[in-house]
Amino acid sequence: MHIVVCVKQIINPDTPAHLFQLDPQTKKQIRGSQPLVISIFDEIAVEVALQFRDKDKSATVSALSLGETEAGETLHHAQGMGAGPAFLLSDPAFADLDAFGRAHVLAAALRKIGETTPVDLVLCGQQAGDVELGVTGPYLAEALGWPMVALASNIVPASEGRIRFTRPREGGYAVLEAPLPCVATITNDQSNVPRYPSILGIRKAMKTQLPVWAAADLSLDRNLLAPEAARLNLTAIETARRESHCEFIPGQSAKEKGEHLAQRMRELKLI
Amino acid sequence: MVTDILAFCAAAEHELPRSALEVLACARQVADAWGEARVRAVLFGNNVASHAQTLIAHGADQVLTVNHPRLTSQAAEPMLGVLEQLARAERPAAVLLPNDLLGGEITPRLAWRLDSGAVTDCIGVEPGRSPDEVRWVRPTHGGKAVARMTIIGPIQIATVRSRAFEPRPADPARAGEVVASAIDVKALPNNVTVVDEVTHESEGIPLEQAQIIVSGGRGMGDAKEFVHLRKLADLLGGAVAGSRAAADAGWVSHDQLVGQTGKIVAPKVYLAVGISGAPQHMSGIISAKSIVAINTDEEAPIFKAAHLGVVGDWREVLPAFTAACEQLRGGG
Repeated sequence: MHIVVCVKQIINPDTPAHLFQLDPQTKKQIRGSQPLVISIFDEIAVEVALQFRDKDKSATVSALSLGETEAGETLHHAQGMGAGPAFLLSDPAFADLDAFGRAHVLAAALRKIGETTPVDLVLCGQQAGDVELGVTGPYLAEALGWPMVALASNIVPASEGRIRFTRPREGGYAVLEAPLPCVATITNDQSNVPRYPSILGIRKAMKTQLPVWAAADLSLDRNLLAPEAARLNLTAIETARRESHCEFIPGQSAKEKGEHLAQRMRELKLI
Repeated sequence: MVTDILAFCAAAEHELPRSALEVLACARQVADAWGEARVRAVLFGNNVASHAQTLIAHGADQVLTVNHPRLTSQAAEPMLGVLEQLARAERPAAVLLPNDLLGGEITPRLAWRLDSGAVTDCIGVEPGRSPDEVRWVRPTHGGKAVARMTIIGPIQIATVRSRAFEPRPADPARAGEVVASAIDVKALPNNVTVVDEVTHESEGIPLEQAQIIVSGGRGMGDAKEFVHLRKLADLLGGAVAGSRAAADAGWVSHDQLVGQTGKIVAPKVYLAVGISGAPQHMSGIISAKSIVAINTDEEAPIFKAAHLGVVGDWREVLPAFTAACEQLRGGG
């Protein structure tokens, strides 16, 4: 079983609101002094793949990222957790692609990876921690022409040529089965809290040569990289303004504040 | 030619989800702005035709029923197939879906097949006067930014965030037609099968439906302290939730987690107890109508977003608050 996990590097999503800034030209977040991190649901997807491999040692877990050179760190992070081969897709021509264009590049890379070792399963986090569109996984299923399972939290072995997933739902979970190859988007539950990467693992990964593929290395229609190929246009983006007039409840003691809070909430018809 | 807007609705025999009415409200807003546009609700499910009149009363001009036992709440693929056939045959200007399990999968896949773009999780829409003028409004970066996006392609496909659109009041006098779909659901591909469904004993109201949420964070200190939150929630008819810290510590279940990696909620009142307000938590509650925070640290970020705040130890504040609520309730 060859599982490829798509991982995106993003600016720390826990950037406090008062430090969050947008570049009016590029309409992207200004990094400032914030660290670059692996997008949380992608890290969870790596964990889900590794948990499957923990049980089935013959499985291979690869990591694939589309980004700038720094995204190599995100691949090292995945390798430090235990992923095997890693592939970076980096080219100035990829820099301004929308989700549609990025999916075409990822799909071309998945086909190329599959030429060496056929890919059985592609995992994507349910959504990126920055733009939060949640379209990459479904787009890849369409681009590859494979079935997909949305919002799975675990992989469960099944009969030859098939795979099962658990999917959390309100007050329980469902078990779904799909034929291989397929695509799954990954959500979190109690069972898939990401393991810490091992420092040794990261060091070892840093010593190996990371394949970096540009557009020319992929079998990809160049027209798909042109600005006219975009399917979405970000016309405007602005920092969310929050009405932050917190009315602090007065009182001589905590007990009195509690009573006053109830009275104030009743006045405001909140309770 | 009449411009059609399709509003997606997946229902169970005895339950029409509120999200369907919210999607209808969004579709109606767009249709009314465009003029000459018709809202067609596409109603999926098994034995669900009885909901058609409700959909008409809430804004649909036509209800297209797609009835089949295969169309369960887990069956995105056949629904995708139906919508694809409909869109290819009848060229609607827009398809709107709820931003949930089904909408999240169907929307991007449908957009890909129809060579268009998809915008997910919209909290608003600026319809303009025609399909090529629509701007979709959606939060990004954990709610720290708001983006306006346009779709480039032959059809507008979008999902709307839960509770972002208020259902229109039911108007029993509204007229509309009900049409049964002729699409052969059985013939559509369905690669993914449900082999098992496990339901645990679930506590209380699901967070998405709760009007009042009482939520605890790291400051609760221990799982057993959540009994105080439960007592208050029961009194107010609300639900109990927790922050990532509370979920990671096992104090609340994953179903109760609110934030970027949990649920996005929009209750009338979100009472945050011992929650500092980390960005990943705040992204889950930006749509709450009122945020009330109890925290010992007056510098805690939660107070930056809260409407009402109490600086103090919840162990003293909460019992007094609960007792006062009991009295107010008792006194009517």
